[in-house]
Amino acid sequence: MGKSAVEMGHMKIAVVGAAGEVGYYVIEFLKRRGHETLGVVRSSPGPLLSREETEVARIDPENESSLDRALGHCDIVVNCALDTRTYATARERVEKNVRFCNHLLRCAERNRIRKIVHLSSIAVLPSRLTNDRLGCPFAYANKSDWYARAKIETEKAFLRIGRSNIVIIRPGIVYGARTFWSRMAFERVLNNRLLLPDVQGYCYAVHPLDLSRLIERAIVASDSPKVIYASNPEQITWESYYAAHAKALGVEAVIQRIPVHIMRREMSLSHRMVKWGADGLHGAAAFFRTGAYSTMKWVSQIPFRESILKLPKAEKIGLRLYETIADSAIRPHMSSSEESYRPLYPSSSELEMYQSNADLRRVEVGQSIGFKYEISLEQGCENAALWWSNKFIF
Amino acid sequence: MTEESHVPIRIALVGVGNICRKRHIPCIKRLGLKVVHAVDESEEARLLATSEFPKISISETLSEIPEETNAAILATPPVLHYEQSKWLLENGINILCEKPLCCTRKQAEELFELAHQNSLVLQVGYFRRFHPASNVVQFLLKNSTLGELRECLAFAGHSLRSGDLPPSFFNRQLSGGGVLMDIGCHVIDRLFSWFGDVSLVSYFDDFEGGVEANGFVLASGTLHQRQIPIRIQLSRTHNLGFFILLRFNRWNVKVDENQGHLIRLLSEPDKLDLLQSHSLSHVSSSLIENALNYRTSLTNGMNLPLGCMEELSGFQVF
Repeated sequence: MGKSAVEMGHMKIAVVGAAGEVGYYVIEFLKRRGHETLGVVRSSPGPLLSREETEVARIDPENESSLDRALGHCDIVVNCALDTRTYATARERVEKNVRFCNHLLRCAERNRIRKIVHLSSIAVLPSRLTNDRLGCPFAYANKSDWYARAKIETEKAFLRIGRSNIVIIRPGIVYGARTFWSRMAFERVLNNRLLLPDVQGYCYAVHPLDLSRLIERAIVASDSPKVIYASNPEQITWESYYAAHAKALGVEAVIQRIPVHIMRREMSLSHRMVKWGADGLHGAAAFFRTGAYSTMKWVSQIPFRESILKLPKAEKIGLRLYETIADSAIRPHMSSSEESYRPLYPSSSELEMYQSNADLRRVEVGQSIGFKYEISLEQGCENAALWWSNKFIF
Repeated sequence: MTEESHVPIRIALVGVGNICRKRHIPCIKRLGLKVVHAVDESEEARLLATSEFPKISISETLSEIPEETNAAILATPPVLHYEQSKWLLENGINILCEKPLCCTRKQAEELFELAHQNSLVLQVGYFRRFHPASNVVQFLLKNSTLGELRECLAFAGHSLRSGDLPPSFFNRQLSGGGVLMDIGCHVIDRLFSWFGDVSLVSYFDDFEGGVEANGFVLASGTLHQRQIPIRIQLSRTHNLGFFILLRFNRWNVKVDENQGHLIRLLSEPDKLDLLQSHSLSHVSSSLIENALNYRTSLTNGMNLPLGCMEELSGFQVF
């Protein structure tokens, strides 16, 4: 179970990003374990954190002195923060996050912080995680999405310092009540026919309570490994992940296995058609709406995927075309009972993720510091379902 | 003020935050009312007020409000309402105060008495009671058009992100309370306008020293000498929607809190299939109606317009 606050001796733990999805779990858990905590937030504590008389410090991420004031009397820092605000470019989003981490590291140095636990992500590694890739923990993925890039660059910032009092935790899919991954799973199983490749892929799910306990263990341990993966050793497949969420809601997940080569072929062919169609439509609309200058600016700035997502509804004709073509290609593989659900095609990065077969039990998941995962997938999904169904609000 | 005196309305905006900018300023412009002054602690807010009304004066404190001011729209954090309302009433200024009027029953009684003594208007911004749908529900309840009312269920909640709102929103010292004070009071005011008398049966929330994020109210309303069970669920963490469901013997009526022009008639009491939607269009928005009511009260010399008495009753219950 880990040492309680009494056993650990008095320490004040600052949780940076305490109003966030994971940060709130972490600070709540540490408080329940009797630790003195400080929630560090950017704008406001939010509805959950503000229910209690939690000590909260507001900081300006660009201003180191506000961080100094917040961390002045703290011993430990747990960094769960990620700036998810939209900026002009994805690059700026990444740079803001790296800058903040550098501020945090300098403040920690000045204020003699004893240990920093930084919440990274398994997304720093390639989407299709294999045992070979797992064997090279610092061979970062070459990804274009801002989230993965921000996680990679911020992790590098922490590792660059080279101090022994920094622990990096790489959680897998963090699921549970109030989390993005469970919300997405519930929405998908209720409304969609899920198409998964016909290979066994693991999702590396972890419940935020287990993650919080692991963080506490990492704080306590006198000799923590540099990098710890947070993933339930249950070896949860993507199919069982969706099925467990569906079961918790009292429904059955409609999942269809499609040969990978067919999925790839249809996605790539249709994606090309969508790109041409969507680019053309959007370009024409932008030209007529806002003039030639805006069109040129759009063409130069926005990568393909973001442009699709930003298309007005009327301009998503290309996407419907893609769905029609891909659906007719894949329909022979479906059974008739599943046709009533709208087919949900994975994105190319999701398709890669669905094929991950690395065995995380081969690497550090907390075993060397005596950590044991307690929450099963079924338990975590049941609790999440109560939250999702508004049945258990308190 | 009476129609005969033709004293023009000169408004001071006290608090030029989000609510004032999004709701009151558009209403003021639509009705052609004159703003003479703006008060706000924030320089940015004061400058914004001058950009909307270029010829007005601005100040950080109430004491610099010009003498010509005879009306104020108070849209500051709830904990400031009592002191600011008191100052305004003592200085002969009529008030349209954003809800809630204040944070305790004692303060509400005091302000009510002060307004009455000085023959001033004290209106609270419960604009939803001006929804056309609200009037239809009152008619249905009064005339038992859809049979007897069996129960009333109210849901008001959506998941708030921490970055969406200012820190004062979640600060008990500044906001005065959580979800009950914020959106619960709107629901309660509607119920008072329909039932006249509402009594509390039980209440619980997730308050743990800060501000509550979820609340659950069991109450009872009196209608045609019968007690009607009322259940209210409030949330800042869950997407409950914003609607009131009235279950009659024959039909159900669903009133959306944010679509005051729409009333939905649903089929059998145990089924919630939408049967008909009635759009009560071509009427002014409820915000305009609220402001109109205030203006009418000011020009006709009416005291205690809608909202003030019910606010007091609300405090009495809670």
